[in-house]
Amino acid sequence: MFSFFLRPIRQFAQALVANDSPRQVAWGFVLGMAIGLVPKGNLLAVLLGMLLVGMRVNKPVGLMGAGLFTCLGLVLDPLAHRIGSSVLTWQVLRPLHESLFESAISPWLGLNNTVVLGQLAIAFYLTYPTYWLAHQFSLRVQARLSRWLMRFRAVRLLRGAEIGTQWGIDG
Amino acid sequence: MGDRRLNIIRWKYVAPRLLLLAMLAGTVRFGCDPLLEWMIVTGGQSATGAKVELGELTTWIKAGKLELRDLQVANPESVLRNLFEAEHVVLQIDSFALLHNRIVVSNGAITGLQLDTLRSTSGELATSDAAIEEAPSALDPLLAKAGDLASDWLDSASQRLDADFVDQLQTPHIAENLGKKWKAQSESLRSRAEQLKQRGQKLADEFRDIKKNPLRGVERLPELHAELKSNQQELVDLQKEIQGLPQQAKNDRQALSTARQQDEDFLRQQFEFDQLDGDNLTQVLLGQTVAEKLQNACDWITWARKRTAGNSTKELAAQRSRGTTVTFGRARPQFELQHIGVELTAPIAGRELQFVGYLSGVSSAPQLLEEPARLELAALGDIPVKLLVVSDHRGRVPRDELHFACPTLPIGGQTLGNDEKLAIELAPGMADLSVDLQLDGETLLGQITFTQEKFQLTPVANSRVNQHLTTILGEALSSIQEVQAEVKLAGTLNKPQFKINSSLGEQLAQEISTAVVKLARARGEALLADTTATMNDQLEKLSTARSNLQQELLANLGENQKLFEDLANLSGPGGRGLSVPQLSSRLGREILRK
Repeated sequence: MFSFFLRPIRQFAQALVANDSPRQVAWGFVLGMAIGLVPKGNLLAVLLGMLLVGMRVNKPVGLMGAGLFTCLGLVLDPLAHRIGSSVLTWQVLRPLHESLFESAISPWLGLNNTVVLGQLAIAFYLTYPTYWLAHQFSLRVQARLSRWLMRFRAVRLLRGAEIGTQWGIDG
Repeated sequence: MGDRRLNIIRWKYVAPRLLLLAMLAGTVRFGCDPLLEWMIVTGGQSATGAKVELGELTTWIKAGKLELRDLQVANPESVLRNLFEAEHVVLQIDSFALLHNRIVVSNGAITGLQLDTLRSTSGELATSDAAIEEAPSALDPLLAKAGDLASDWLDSASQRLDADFVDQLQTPHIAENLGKKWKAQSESLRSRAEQLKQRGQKLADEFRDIKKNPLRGVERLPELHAELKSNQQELVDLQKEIQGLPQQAKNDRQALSTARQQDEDFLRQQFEFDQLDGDNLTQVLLGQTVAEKLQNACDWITWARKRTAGNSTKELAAQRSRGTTVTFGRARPQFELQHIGVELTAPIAGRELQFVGYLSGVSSAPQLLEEPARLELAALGDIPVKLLVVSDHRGRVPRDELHFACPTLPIGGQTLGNDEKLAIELAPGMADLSVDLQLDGETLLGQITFTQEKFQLTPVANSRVNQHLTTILGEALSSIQEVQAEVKLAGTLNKPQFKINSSLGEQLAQEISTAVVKLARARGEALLADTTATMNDQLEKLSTARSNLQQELLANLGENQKLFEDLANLSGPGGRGLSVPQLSSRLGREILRK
């Protein structure tokens, strides 16, 4: 019960001092970015969320990314709409869109919505730069930040709690 | 490499969630029926504003089939009645369309459908605070005016036929006055004759006294002479007056004849009626029935159109989300009912008729469909009734059509018109009825044709209506054997108007007017005959009385005349005056010997 209430704080600390590899941190952030950008009322957002929680990536960083890019996504909506419109009206892709639209699952994915498709395109476009930046940040900052944070007793306690949880010692 | 791929999935995390998903799927499967039931009841109540009750709901998700039993939708304007109830509803729902967030009923059947049935409990929603508007129909003032005009005419006729005009006739009054006047005159004449006689006797007595004692009476001779002269003059006047009696009788007869003529004119004026307006009568007799049905049809169309407008608002609201949802291929409505079989029981002319048919092309966005919505019903059994409703809301202006045809429609007996004033009972029969109604936007156009053979109308006996009038109305109405009516519909959905063209009103007006005039003429003639008889009787009485009086008075006056002449002769020829010796000798010789 105690760990349940401590979990958010623990996860925040773990995002900074966890033993996850820089790649896991970077992929977590990329997935969080995609989740944040894509409008939430469709199956695509659910699938991205399931990917984040179902894969061995840094989940807290992903959640932080999602929160950050949700705000940014709203600002990018007009641009996303234009991109989505262009993609949806591109004659070359029209057969693909039509077949997708006629399929049973596509309406739930929201891929015929200009903003969903536009934000997804932006997310794809930003995948590599975001991954690279997150990876570099993780490589250069995480170790130093971890050492600095571990100087604090509270963080050590939280860290201990996390390890305890991972070892199955749940309070 | 393969192990590494497997390791990237956190099975410890994924497995419980997959289990959770499986449980969720199970919950959806078993919770689907109660959820759908709740959605249908809530959505139905929201749409109608009255209770929606559902006995049982079963779904087959894989087959996309939905079955409802004992569905009741209450009438929001009548708490103890249902708009409709259906025993069994089976709907085949397109699963693929459902995945596209569209509800498409590709096929289905509604059996045991009944309209406007009774409820055992109130159908009012507990949360509903909307007041039921009981506004009068737009057609009511028109019908009321027509009804008032027709019933006022008959009221007036009835009152005039019932009125006692004897008091207002001049002949009886004049005859009575003449009788009184003659009575007074005869008494006066008799009195005057008697007085004259008495005065003659007195004069004779006084002359006798003078004869006995001429010296004492000589002084009175001039006075007696003057009195004699005066009596003689009065005698002459009286005789003239009596001789003038036949002339007076003639004048009285003339006065009575003039009065009779005036009475005749008066009665003719009183019993003169304007022609009853046939159009008004038609409105009164057939208008109520047409107005009720037309108003019902308009109310239903208004109700249905209001519900359609609500869907458009919802679609607009849906478009206000992020981005634009692009549809590929042909756009389809969110809700579509492609074809559904209907088995319906409805009361027609007091008989429960069984109908079968179909409903097709109903949708939330009619402009996206190729065909308009259609409802086609045909009656089973021996009464061939056909109903076709086409609702085309695909264009900018909605267009609704209704066609109804029945060549042998049973018509129940009914009372037409206002039974407090004029009411006519229509006997049951069979009619050929066809209705064509078209509604372009708000503009109403249409026609109803009605033909009924073996048509029987009888007036309803009413204490307010003259009984003779009721009888002659009965005779007049019995001559009408067939009725044909053509109703032209116009106006708008909110203010429908109609004009009934039928020979029934004209025919009835003609028959009633003729009968009333005939009755009035008979009544007038009877009154005049009574008056004439009274007048003749009075004249005869007067004539006899005058003749008798004349003879009586002339006989009496004859004696007086002789006496006065004898007395006058005493004064000598030329009236020079009396002398005592003459008086003595003549009295003794001629008069006083008696």
